[in-house]
Amino acid sequence: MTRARSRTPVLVHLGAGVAVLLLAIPLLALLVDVPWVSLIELLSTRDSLDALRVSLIVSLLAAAISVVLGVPLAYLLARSYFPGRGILRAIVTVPLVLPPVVTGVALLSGFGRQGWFGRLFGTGLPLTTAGAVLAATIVSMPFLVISVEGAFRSGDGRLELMASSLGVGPLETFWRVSVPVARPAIVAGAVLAWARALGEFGATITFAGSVQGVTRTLPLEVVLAYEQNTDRALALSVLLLAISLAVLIALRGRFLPSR
Amino acid sequence: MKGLRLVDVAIERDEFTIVVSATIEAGTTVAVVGPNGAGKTSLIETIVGFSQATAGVIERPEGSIGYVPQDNLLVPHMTIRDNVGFGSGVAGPDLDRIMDELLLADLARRRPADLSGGEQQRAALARALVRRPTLLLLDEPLSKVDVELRRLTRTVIGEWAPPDQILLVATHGADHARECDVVLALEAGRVVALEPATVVAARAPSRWLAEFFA
Repeated sequence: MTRARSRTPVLVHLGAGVAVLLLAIPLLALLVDVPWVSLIELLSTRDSLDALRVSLIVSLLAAAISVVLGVPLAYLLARSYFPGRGILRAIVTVPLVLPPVVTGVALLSGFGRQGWFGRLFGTGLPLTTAGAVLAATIVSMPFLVISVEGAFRSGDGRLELMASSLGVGPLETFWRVSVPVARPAIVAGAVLAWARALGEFGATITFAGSVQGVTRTLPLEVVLAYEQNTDRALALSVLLLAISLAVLIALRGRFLPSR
Repeated sequence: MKGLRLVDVAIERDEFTIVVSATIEAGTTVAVVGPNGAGKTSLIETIVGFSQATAGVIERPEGSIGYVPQDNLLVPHMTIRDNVGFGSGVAGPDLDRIMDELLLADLARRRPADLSGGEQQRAALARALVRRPTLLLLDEPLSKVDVELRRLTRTVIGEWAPPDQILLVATHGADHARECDVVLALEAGRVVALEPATVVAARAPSRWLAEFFA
């Protein structure tokens, strides 16, 4: 059955049209300007390949750490009742709204050479790949936690009660019942976290710096390349765009309405 | 403690508070009957420990508890065999036997979603029976089981029961209730009868019960 629709005012059409133009023009211009003929060549320079390698290592590790630590955190937020849960949720959500540069400065205070970590261990994480991974993890983990917390919350906990009544211990119940039931949300959350980590710029450059082959990820390389060779910056941008589109298509139907 | 004792157990519900006091001796079968929304499921889930009473004391018999809820609560991504054997204290030969007796052997590798409602009920029942629980609670366990399998299923329930087992079964079937030793009738959260079916049928303490046994 097709429902009859009321007429949409012209002004609404106009606003929506301008919005679409604003969103589409830069992408369209990027696709037009990209030197398609020399694309492969531009992407296979030493700098580009180093950046691609660092980006893949950093974003995949950040996504993996987000899953390993974020799933338990999401479970706790969804299923446990304890004082300070609201504060805990705020700490988890803050990186979503905080300017990434601020996250980077905060990371310097916490894990920098002159920060808490540095004073304790005599060294810091800046200028290391571990530092870039830490920055990417902090900005991306909230995406996973929020996605998975919703899945844990929508289960009412009765399956877990049944497992417990069958003599199954809490850890085995978590591992064999709760986690598999939430698996679609965990996969979606991991992909979102990975995409966010791949695009991470502000916290990384502030905290981990821009060292070729160590902390210089694709977004950092794009900004650097733009000052030397616009074509290479465009080529790298189109690579990131392609990856982002692939993520959108992979997640279509889960987060994006298909019509 | 071998029996089941409920002392002034109070369970808050939106519409009313369920209040139950009852002592059920070991080896007794109890039919829990009452109109829809009378509090049968709430009472059973409180005895199992899925929800908490707001007041009162529940003393359960020693040993394991078996529960078959209306929604079966089979783990969706596990096979039927893994579901039935899930948890502690299930011996391999027992698992094979219960799967055979409840006609689940051919469905062993399937997942709950691939089964009919009646097959799911039989799987959830098998999971409860195989542990030979001293307290077995069934919430309308045969509602979706094919009519021709109901007799068989009830026989299997009896065969797997340890001698001192207490069985509480919420049912809409008057025949089923008559087969139990005692009828516990709930109406709007109150126990209106706790006595053998013949006595309840003769006394008919409420209009609903009179019609139920008519």
